[in-house]
Amino acid sequence: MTVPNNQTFNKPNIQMYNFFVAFWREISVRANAKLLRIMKLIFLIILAALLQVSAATKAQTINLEKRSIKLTEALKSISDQAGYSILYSDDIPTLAGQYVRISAKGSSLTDALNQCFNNLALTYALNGKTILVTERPKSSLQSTKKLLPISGKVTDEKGLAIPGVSIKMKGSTKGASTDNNGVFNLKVDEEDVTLIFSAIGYVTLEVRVNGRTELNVTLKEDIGKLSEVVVVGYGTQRKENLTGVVNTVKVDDILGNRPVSTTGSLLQGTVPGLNVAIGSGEPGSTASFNIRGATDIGSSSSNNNIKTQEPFIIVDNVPFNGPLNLIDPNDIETVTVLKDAGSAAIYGARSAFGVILITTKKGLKNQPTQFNYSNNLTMVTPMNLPKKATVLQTIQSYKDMGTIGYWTGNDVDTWLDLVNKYNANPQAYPEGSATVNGVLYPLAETDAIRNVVGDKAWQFLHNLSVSGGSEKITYRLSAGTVKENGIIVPESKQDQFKRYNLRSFVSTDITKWITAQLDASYYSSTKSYPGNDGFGPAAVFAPYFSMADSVVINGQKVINGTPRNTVLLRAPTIRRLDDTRLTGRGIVKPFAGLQITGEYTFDNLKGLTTSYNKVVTAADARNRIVETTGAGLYKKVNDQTIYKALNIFANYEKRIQKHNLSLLAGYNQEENSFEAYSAERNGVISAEYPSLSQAAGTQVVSDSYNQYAVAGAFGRINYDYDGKYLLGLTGRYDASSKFPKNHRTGFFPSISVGWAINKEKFMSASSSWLNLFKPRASYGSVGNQAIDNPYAFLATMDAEIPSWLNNNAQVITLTAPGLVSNNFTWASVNTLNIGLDVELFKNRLSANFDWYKRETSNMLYEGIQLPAVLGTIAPLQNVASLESKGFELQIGWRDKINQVSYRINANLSDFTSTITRIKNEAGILDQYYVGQKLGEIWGYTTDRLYTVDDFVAGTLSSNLTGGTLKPGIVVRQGQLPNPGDVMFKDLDGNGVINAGTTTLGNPGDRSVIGNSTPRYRFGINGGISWKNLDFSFVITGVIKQDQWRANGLTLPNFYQFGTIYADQLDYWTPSNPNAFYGRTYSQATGNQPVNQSLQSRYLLNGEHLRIRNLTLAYTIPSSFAKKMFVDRFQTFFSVENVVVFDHMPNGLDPDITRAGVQGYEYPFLRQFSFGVNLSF
Amino acid sequence: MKISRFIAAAAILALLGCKKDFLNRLPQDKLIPETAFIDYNNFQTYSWGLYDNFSGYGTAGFPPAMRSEFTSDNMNETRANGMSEYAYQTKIIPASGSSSLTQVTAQWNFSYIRRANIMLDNIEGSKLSDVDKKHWRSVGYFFRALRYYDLIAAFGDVPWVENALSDTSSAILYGARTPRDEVARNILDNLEYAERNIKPAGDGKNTINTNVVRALISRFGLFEGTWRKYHGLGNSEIYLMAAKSASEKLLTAFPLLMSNYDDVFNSEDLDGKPGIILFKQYAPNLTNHNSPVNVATVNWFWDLTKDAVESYLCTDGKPVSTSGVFAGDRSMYDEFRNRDRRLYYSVIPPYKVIVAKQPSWTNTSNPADAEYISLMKNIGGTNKTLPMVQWSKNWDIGNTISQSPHFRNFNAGQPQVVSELGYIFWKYSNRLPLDNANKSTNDAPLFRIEEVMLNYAELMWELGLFNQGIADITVNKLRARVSMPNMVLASINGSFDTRKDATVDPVLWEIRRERRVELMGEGFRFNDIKRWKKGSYLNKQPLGVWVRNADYGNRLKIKGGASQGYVEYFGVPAGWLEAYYLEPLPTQDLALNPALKQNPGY
Repeated sequence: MTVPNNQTFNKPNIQMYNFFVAFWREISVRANAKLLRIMKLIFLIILAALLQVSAATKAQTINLEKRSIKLTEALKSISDQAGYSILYSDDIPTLAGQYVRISAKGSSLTDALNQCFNNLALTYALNGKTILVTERPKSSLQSTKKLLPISGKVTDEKGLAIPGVSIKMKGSTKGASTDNNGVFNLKVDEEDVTLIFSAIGYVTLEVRVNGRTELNVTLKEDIGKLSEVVVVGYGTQRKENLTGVVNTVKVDDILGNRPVSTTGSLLQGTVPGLNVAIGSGEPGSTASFNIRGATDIGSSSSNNNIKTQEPFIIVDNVPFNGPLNLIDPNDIETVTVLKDAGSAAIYGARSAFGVILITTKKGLKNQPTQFNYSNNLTMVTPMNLPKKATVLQTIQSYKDMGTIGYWTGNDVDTWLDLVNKYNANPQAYPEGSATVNGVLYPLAETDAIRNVVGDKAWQFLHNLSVSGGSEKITYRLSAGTVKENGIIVPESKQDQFKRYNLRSFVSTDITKWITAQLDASYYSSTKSYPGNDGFGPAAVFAPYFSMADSVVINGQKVINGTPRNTVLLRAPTIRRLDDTRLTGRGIVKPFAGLQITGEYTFDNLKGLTTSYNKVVTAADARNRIVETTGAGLYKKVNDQTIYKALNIFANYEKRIQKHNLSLLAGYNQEENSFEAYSAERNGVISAEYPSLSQAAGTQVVSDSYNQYAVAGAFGRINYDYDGKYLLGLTGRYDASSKFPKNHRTGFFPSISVGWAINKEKFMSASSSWLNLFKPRASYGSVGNQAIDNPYAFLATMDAEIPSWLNNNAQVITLTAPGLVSNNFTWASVNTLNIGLDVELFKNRLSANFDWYKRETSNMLYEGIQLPAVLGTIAPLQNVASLESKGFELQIGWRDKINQVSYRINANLSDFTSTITRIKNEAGILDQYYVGQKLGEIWGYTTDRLYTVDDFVAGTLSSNLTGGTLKPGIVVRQGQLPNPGDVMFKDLDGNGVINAGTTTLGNPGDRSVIGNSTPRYRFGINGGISWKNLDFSFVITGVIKQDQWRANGLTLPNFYQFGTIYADQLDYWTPSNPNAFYGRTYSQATGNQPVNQSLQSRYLLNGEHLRIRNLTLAYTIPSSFAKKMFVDRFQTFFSVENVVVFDHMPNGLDPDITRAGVQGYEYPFLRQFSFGVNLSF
Repeated sequence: MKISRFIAAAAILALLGCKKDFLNRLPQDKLIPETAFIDYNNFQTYSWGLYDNFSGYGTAGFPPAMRSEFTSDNMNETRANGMSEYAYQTKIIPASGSSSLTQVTAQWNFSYIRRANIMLDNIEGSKLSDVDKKHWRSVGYFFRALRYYDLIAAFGDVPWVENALSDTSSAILYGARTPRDEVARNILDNLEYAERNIKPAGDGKNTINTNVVRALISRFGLFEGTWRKYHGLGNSEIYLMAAKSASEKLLTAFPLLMSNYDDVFNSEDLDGKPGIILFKQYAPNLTNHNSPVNVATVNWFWDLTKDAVESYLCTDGKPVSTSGVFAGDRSMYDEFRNRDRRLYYSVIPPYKVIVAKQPSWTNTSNPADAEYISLMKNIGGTNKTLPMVQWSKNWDIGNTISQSPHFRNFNAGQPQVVSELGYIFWKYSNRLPLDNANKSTNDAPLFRIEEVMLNYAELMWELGLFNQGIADITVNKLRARVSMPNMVLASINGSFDTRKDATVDPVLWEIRRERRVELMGEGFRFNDIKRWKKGSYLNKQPLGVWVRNADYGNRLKIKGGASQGYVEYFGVPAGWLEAYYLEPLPTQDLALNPALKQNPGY
């Protein structure tokens, strides 16, 4: 062993040390003996790591000779000599009075310490440079402690025995359960122990034994979750007294054992009306949330630019800035969704479209220290790959388009001939290709999609938490890590997401009436994505392009531009996010019923995006031209959002006889400032180690700023009479910096009422089976300040770099300022909600139904569509209104039959949104118009394909083009159709197909042919448990939706340089005149764009059902688990994204809607996962 | 004690309430007009944005100015549906004007007018001296006139907007169009004010100065003067005389031409080059374009028509119809022999080589195949050498195109640089930066003295003042540069070109020919045809080179389905309509403003 020369703790380490000492003392007070041991072990390991025990230098000898010395002094002397520090477990009552005899001359440290502790009820441990002093474990001293037997019977209120009741000793893991007669037998180690009786369907009961040896217990039936308390804005409310539309999800219930790392994917399908969209299976992909559909319309003139604004996301009372996937779902206790104005209005300006309240897990008072550990090992595989046509079918399609020489230089007839020969005898072409007249004819089938999309990748999740509490202090600490590898060329390690999160919550009752809390969290995520993901080439490459890593062109070996190489040769774009968030909270309770809370949050979200557009030289896999791409531009963007929020609010509760009153008043202010700067430079010296300094090119820097502030005063009154008649009133006076000075403030009230009919006397007959029957209604108005540009009320001029150079140098200029209206103010969102909550059969069956009408009125929109002579877009004014109507239904059933318990929950929701007010007197269709249903798809109605008979005989050329149409055959304006082209219906009967004046009054031959709004979304989740086995499932889906997607996967040879897929072969040819798809043309030109233009025939049906998750879990019997010193040990196997039943072409998912010519994007991943959950 | 707690809480609240500026947040990285137009530099900064109306060679694809050539009789976009919407009557009334600045030329779009007006409106309130105020007003007037020239050419009557409009400027927003007479007059007045008041040297090299203003007066004056004359609107002399005066001053100021025609378009630097009045500069990594690369790709669909090829004179100074040195058109080799060399700079001449191993090549055994390879070597310039090379980064591997004409369906394994008609347009091709997409930096001429010379020659004829002396300082200067014999007025009579439009005076026909040839592919022809009221020129079927189809496996499309003859791509045009002299107004604007009337015939 070695000793350092002196104490070398540097400053932060001392702080860390002090913190840990304090922390350790704290928990050691709480923990019982066994847990203490485990904790000490873990604690010391962590401590040792933190203190960075280094290899020190000097041999350790101790010199100390005393006949009698205080133990503390002796240890001080020894530790000083050894360069160690001492930690005392401060629950050692006997410490102060201990004297020891010691005789150490050049002794070793252990020798000296052994002398000290000999004969004491204390012991020590060494860890790193620390001597830890604790009591000697009691078991070793009191090995013969008496165990007291205790027995009894557990019955229900009717006196019937309850089997399977779990009985646990408080603060211990020991326990037993009742047999079929409700009888239990147990031995306890102390006379006055508290026993906890729990069983599904019954209220958990704690009983002090108090010396008894026989104990008969009656358990009350759990009349469900009615007594549950749910979090509402700035407070809590009993669930049965709710009058607003509040859905609460316990994350442990829905998370179960799913390998889900993000809260977004977890919430999919769980709350009706909460729409969660995740664009792809990309690791770390963010979810977007929306409550009850369309909220606003985009300010651009393109149709259907619907905004579905995000709800206000609040974590422990304070808005959350970062993407929600920074939060580990394991840290979340509940997610509460406030959907109507009655419940959300308290949050004011940004709650217009609902609120998602996230409450994190905390420690509980007098809770024994509890550790939880869970992990997941997941294998992911891509779902739903597109399927291309064969080589022969592909070349044939070229010929059918009328191509003679393909754009890669091949003669199509020669090619067809060669493919046929190859297919007959592949051995004759060992290279898989032939060369004719110097032109290469690839013949062998290749798979460009599999070239970039890997078979599988691995993902890991770990989460460890510790929580507990004493009479005065509660705490919870947690740490988690996630690593997700994606399926784009997995070995490239470019497609990855990593996250680390640490959270701590500590609450202390300073006095009886003051509580201080500190909530601190740190999240860090790193997302890496390939600079070019290769999906583009994978989708558009024909099935014969060589997938060899290199090709020889004119005797030179060149890297082949396969999709895979496209990824490998480039550098990934890496986005790192770090969020540090601190909330300090003081809660004061001056007298009974009143609670004043003041909280201040500081949140710092930092982002760093690094990208490097590498210079890459490779052969184009299609035409073998060697190209150099990439500007060699290295770019860094640093952004930072500093967010500060202050909440001060008071809750007061008073009960006078049967009148219950609860009041809330408060003040809130928030300040958000975003700042970013970006620097870029080309001419990087080392492509492997790019940096801004090590580059020779031009430096370009820029910055941007964005700030806003809101302040508001709010109040709420909840009143009920005997829990029967419920009333809620909310008001908020808000001000926002996003509006000009004189239009900055707004007052937004709401009211909600409810009637618990089941509690009425006249309903007493049904009280045995009707547990709740509560109709309710709410109406309220909330302001909406969600304008992207916080300075929209100012006519600003942005800096811009023109293409004009002055003396070979770049210059800067300013854009022309836009127009601004001077009466620009809040839009208000008014929601009427009528609902019913029902619970039946001892709460086995529960159901909620809500119907709502939400009107976004006075939306900021380009006031009037102004004539183009204005020269700019019209200023934003509060002139548009939007109405959404919808319903939500949720039904749940849970029961237990003998040993089998099962549960099922189903929900269904729907909405439609209509424009009710807008300035578009001319009814221009490229603009919104009054009465427009959002999501409308305007297009032509497909009639049929033109046939040869439509043309005057003899006018068609040999390849069936250039003919003269017979009189009376309709033609699209500006078009010279050929047989096989798509004919549209002449809806207005004017003999020509056109868009009329593109107005509502004269839409020509276009009409509403579909609607892209998903209708009747549903979610079903459920499970069944038998003994230690538990099976669960999650299903989601949409019943009605139209989608228009024009891309390579939906239409044959859609893209000039694209290809044809196996499910697109039914296209027109002279011998297939009744084809589904119209005529295709060489290089996707000619009439093909018209044949493939927006029309009824090629609309896709977005209806689908998705089995999102199946999980099978097994809990190891507790008797066995205890041998491993754990309370609970569960293992599970789960499949996420099991299957989707839909009507889409191969490779397209109804929920992946990114568009592009190639059509194929990052697919959803099927996840097979295995993991364990441990509690100890 | 409890009271003191409340007092403390109240004090905190009061403190917060005092922070008055909490809700005042102003942008840190943006300016507002009140702060953006104070001193001279401010105006200069803002003005750079106005220069972006000059798209030059653009930044990708073909030069935007070329677009209007596709709809004229000069060129064809030879791909399905690429036919001239005017010739084939496939013109569609647009729903709205495009908002993209580079595409607005013939669009009902006033954003650029607004941009210029914002500067003009802020001059009076600035701290500029009176001289500077006049200078910036001149610059603003120039740019506004530049855009109005496009608008008047496209639509005839257009609303005149003198100041930046707001949403409450109903009189103009919902008013009728301003009559063409008034708009044209305003344009001319604005330009003449600018000519008098702009700083003679502008704001430094290659900026708007007196000469640039004059060049626009020359262009606009000729346009409006001849339009009025041929469309019977009257008052044409005012515009012609203004153009005459401006052109004369320019001819004095710019007596010389660049020595090589091709260098005008393919020089890395046009700064200080003779005859260049204004150009768009391109520089590596700052502003690049893609024109040369585009010519050498599979995506180049632009052919000259046979009619345009025939407009080039032969080396004896006579047209193909009467020239003694014209070798006939039964092969492209014959057709190109003894022609104005501007043809060789505009269309890839015929050749054939053997490419055994790229990129090296050898001549074929037939010396005739190399005729134009040697010719191109001899006429100077490094930009246009044969054989043509396709775009490709790696010249170690290279891709030499083995022949021209190089038909799309007979590309001999090289799909690049292919054409449907055989006359592939390559005026904007050069060998220097053929490298990587969007990397070309050769400068684009915007106003050059050659155009002024042609304007001057034409307007002098229209004014009845054209004579041999005028020809010598205009047309003959252009001819001398390309080693062509002079235009000799005495020799031009009705039989000088037997294929000419009989309704046009023989001398005027030759002046217009010179204009067509010199400015080929630069975006003038369509407006020229409209102002001359010669829409009927578009009724000719666009044809290609003469071939024997048997030489091509009988797979080319020959006019009339014959076994030999002119290659065709589009059939016989439906023909020009009288309405096409003016563009249709977008339906949306007509719906929004009932006072706005559609141009006749739509």
